[in-house]
Amino acid sequence: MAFKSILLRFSRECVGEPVISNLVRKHGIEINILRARIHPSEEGRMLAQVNGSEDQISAALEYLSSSGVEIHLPESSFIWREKKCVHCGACAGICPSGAFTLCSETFEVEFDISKCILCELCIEVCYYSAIQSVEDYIETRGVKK
Amino acid sequence: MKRTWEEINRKIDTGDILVLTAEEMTELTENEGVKEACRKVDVVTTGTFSPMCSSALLINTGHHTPRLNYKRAWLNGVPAYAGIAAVDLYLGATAQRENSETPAVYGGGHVIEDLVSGRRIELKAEGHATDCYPGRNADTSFTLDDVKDAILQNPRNCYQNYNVAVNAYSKRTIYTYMGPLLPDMRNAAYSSAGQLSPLLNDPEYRTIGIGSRIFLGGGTGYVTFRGTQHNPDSERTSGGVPTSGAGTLALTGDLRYMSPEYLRGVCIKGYGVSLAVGVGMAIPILDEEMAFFTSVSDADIPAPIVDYSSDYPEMSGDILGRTSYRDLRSGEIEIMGKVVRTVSLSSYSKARKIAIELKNRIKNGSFKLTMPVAPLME
Repeated sequence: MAFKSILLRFSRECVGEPVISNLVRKHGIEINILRARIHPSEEGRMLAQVNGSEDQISAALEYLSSSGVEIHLPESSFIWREKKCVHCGACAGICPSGAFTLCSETFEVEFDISKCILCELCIEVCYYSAIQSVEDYIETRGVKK
Repeated sequence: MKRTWEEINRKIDTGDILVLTAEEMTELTENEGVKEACRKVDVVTTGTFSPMCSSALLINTGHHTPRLNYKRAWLNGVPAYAGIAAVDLYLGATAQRENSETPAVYGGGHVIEDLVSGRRIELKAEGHATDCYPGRNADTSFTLDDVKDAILQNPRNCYQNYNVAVNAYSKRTIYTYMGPLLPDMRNAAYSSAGQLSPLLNDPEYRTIGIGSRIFLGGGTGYVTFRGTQHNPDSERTSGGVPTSGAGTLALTGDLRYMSPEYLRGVCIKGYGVSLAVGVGMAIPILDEEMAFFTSVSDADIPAPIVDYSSDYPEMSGDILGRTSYRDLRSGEIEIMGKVVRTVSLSSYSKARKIAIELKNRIKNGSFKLTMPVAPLME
């Protein structure tokens, strides 16, 4: 089984199609929608975690593509800007999902994107701007709006 | 078994010296005892890295043509104090940029980080316009290489111990300099390098005093005086460790030799801006008492738990309980029967890095110890 975070952009063309229902019914994957919004300038955007076998997930991603949904698979720099991190561990102390942890040996911060539920509590506690919002990520990485 | 400062510095010259970090010293004394550790170890290095609000930069920009005596001045929009000599400015770490941005995201600490990173700083100033200093306005920019002097001058750093902050009474999240504190004591924030912290390894200030050479912001600095709010008379454990705040240090050093790795502007949501400073000190093992003091472990260091929703702002002086840095570092502590997650503001990994860096400087002969010219308090 694989667990993946996906960032989706729904263009005008695919609005109206029950894409997520189809993902669940036809491809049998579990989907946890973390954030979804429709914005005049960026159309529809959704951040979700999908859970299923490798085959199921690749079939699901193919279906999304063929439906006109743009897919982006965020890496760990998604919200954590490691270069700016001083490893105080404030994020680990507030992270509710265990995505941010402080290693008990090295006392360095570790980030597991597959556990991140994008609550953004970590942004509030980080003094060093080492954590960015999804919006900042999209802007800095040039992900198409 | 006794050692003198001179003997230790001679050993630094020859390279025949044993230097341990405070963590290594704690381990050695656990295994071999204080007496044996004293016989073997010459110097113990410490480190800390944390926001230290009482930090500032004294900067002499060099003269303008025509000459100008600053009346008011802004560095990247952050106001600097101009009430000293003509082109001297004093920039505080917590001064906020003067514009419409709320909450504050940029301030004196960030200007210091930008300067030490080699970035260009905008200077805007008004002059007094006198006969000898006729200049009225300045609008220019400079880098660290362009200025005459840039001296870090921190009135209060290295608090010996510190509060553990919780929100015990407010129903909403409160925004403090210890970070956001969730209602119902859902988190507890602390800020000390504990067993690695300089003044916790010399709790009675026997070797750290006025004139001590230190690691400051990646470069070399000095202890110039006791820090503001220095309170050596606070309550102690039987091992001499203060159970709350206690000692502080005033520090200074040349910014030119420092590094952005150890000087970072910080932005504290709902509170303001500050500067995180990396400091390290070398403690000579003059005798068994110093070996004992440097053997301190996180388990031996208590910290008071203080409510920041009411008791702290109202100066009630009440504490909710005590914990230790060993428990704090485990990630959870118990307060009045409730398990509370802990949040550290101080970076233990950076503190460790500083202690190791200082140890290496001593071993390669580039950092010698200085005996204080006077104690912190006479």
